[in-house]
Amino acid sequence: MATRSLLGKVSPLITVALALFVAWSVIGADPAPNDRSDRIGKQIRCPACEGESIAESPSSYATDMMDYVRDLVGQGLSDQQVLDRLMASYPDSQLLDPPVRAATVLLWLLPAAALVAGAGLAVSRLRKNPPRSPTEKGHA
Amino acid sequence: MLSLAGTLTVWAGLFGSGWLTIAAWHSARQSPAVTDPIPTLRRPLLIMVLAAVGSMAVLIAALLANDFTVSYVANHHSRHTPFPFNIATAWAALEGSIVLWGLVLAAYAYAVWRRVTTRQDRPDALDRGALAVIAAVGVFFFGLMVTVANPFEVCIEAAARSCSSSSPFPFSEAVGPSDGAGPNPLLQNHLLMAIHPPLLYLGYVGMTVPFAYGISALALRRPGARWLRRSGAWTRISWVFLTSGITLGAWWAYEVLGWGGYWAWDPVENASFMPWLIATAFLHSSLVQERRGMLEAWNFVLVIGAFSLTILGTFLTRSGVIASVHSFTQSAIGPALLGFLVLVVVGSFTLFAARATQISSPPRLESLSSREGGFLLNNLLLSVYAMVVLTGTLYPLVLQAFTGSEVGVGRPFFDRMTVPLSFALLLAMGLGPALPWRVARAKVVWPRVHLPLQIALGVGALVVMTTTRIGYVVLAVVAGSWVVAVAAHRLLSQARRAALARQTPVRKQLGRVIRSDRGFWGGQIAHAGVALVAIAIAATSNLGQSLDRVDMSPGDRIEFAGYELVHTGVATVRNPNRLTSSAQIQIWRNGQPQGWVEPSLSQFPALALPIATPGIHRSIREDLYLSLTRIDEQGVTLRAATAPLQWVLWLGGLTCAAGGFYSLVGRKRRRARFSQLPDAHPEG
Repeated sequence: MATRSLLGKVSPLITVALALFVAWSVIGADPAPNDRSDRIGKQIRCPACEGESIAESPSSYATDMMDYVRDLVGQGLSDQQVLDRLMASYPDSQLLDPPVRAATVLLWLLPAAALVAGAGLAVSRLRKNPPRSPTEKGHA
Repeated sequence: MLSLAGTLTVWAGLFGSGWLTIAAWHSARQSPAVTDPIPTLRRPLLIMVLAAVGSMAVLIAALLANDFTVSYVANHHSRHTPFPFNIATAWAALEGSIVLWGLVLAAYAYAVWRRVTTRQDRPDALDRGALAVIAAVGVFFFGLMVTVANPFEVCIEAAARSCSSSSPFPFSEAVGPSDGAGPNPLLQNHLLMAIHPPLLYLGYVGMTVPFAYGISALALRRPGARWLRRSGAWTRISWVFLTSGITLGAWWAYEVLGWGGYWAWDPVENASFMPWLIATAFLHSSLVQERRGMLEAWNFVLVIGAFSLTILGTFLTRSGVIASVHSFTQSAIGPALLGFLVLVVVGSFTLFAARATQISSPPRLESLSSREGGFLLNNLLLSVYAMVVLTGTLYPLVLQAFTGSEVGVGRPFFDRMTVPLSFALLLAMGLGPALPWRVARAKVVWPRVHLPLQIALGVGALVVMTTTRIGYVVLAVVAGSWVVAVAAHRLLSQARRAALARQTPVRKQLGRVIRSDRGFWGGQIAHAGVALVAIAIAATSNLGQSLDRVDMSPGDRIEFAGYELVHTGVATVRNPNRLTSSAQIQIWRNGQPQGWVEPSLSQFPALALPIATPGIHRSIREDLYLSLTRIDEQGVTLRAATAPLQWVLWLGGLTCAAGGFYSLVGRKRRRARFSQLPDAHPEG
């Protein structure tokens, strides 16, 4: 019994230690292990093939564009500079990641509104006078 | 001849489903407590079912007989289409897929009828009303078949390899081409393509049944949990089909499309994923109503939403409204499907609003930290998830339709929005089953989750030390292990308690515990499947390596990701419907030969560009995925990629479906227990 209660005391410490170790390792890691060119390429729609990005499409058009992206990345341009250079000759619709504009703001707002409305509805369903219970918690 | 037979079957289907709608609705309204086993409905139902089977049979017969006077055959079939793709052509194109819709719907109608006439308590108004709604949906689809999507039109003017003009009148003079161009080459490349669409349709169309019960309950003013209990098994059946259909669809894309991915957030993929999300939310929230009488109104919203999304999916897939890698069809059927969608949404929600006063104000939640609170969180996350997918899918269309301006919404948008939601769902999925109903006290919950949490973090630490420190992967592994560990811990502690009480070994109790509550444990199996899927997605999308383009001549040897690839030669095979050139690549690892793969390019006569078929070398550790972009006398241009734990994705998807199936098998016993509980709304 004595070992058991000792274990009971040490156990939460082990949990915290493990959590800290995992969190620390992850935070210390390179957050973007993928190739930068690949990441940029995934944001641009391949003009010759519907729906696929230039990083994914095997078509020659896409591979040529990817070569250009690698070239620009090799010259030391930032992600945004590479994108700007490429998108100078293409319409915004070729971006798979829509930029925030007046026309696209709803795209971000609708899901956010659904989240807020849903959470509000759920909280409003809470009983106003909870039954007598000492550990009653009202948080989400 | 076959045109005439086919035309007769679709008209018979329209007649049968119309008759069934009227008769079933009439009997639902008239007799609240009749004792007859609805014999009056047998005849129209049989007409509808036989007509649906007949129309598919005639279509397949026309394909097998190479009857190019039938317009559908002329446009989508060729003499050289091999088995089984000649049969699969029957549902590969637009008109045929509508015939499949009708067939699956008729099958469900028959199955529901069988179920309500063979179970112990007699079919009541709720069942009849549901049959009426199913039949009404049938009226629409058979209506499509006799008008805008008639596969049995007679070809009256032939082009070289297709039909340029056709007539719906079966006695018109038939002039068919001597051969057709055949189905889309992508659709005759892999056996999965013959299986995946019917599975998906079984899932899509199956959502009609819970919808029909919901509408029947609303229209007949019979809210309460009875409609949920009647339709619960059907929701599960269609969910299992939908889950396996989506998994096999992703698998097909991976095996056939040759870009190495399995999910592109393509509108057609999204179209199948949205009903899945809402159906999943519905499965969970219906439990809350059955158990606690809460969320009654919300369940109506979800079931209407799930069905509407299947119609939206059919519209997106089959109207050609979106040109995407999947949209093989273009037609004038779009307005009809869109109109039906609007009718369903507006009609259902109007009915819902009209009955709102009769839907009881639910008992209030005692605490958000409870099993109910967990389900509420699950519903919130899944609904927002579906909202994200819906917005991202429709936004470009709506914006273009109304303002003419174009905007692209693709993977980066969907990933950014859904990845946090997915992780939140995963964490909630582990916690939820550990929470008791009503109020969860830390004293109760902590012992249930502490050890699993330690195990999950331990697995995470192991991954950090041995494999990777990439946050997404580590988090997916920790969250996935946590989900599995909570369920396993629960199982073990229940079995241990039972073993202690009965003085038997623990392992003998494991099976008994799992069998004792199939609904719960089936759910846990499905959760484990989702956990596997999450881990596999994180691994394949973060840990893979790729080599974009490399030219190889026969005899060349390259090194990639710890493999050595040796190009040993080229083989060309001429099939009746294609010319396939494949490269033989020998795979070596650590100085040991691992085998050959043969990525290939196929040239179809109907297409300018060749179709690439990848060659995949599989191992427990990862898939090595090779595809060609060029092949000729000088050699090949190769793309290579590794996909770690790719097989876990397929395993996870199928485990998820298996969990749903398991919860179905033993439902009868569970239902018997439920029916002893007093109904929230006693009828009569």
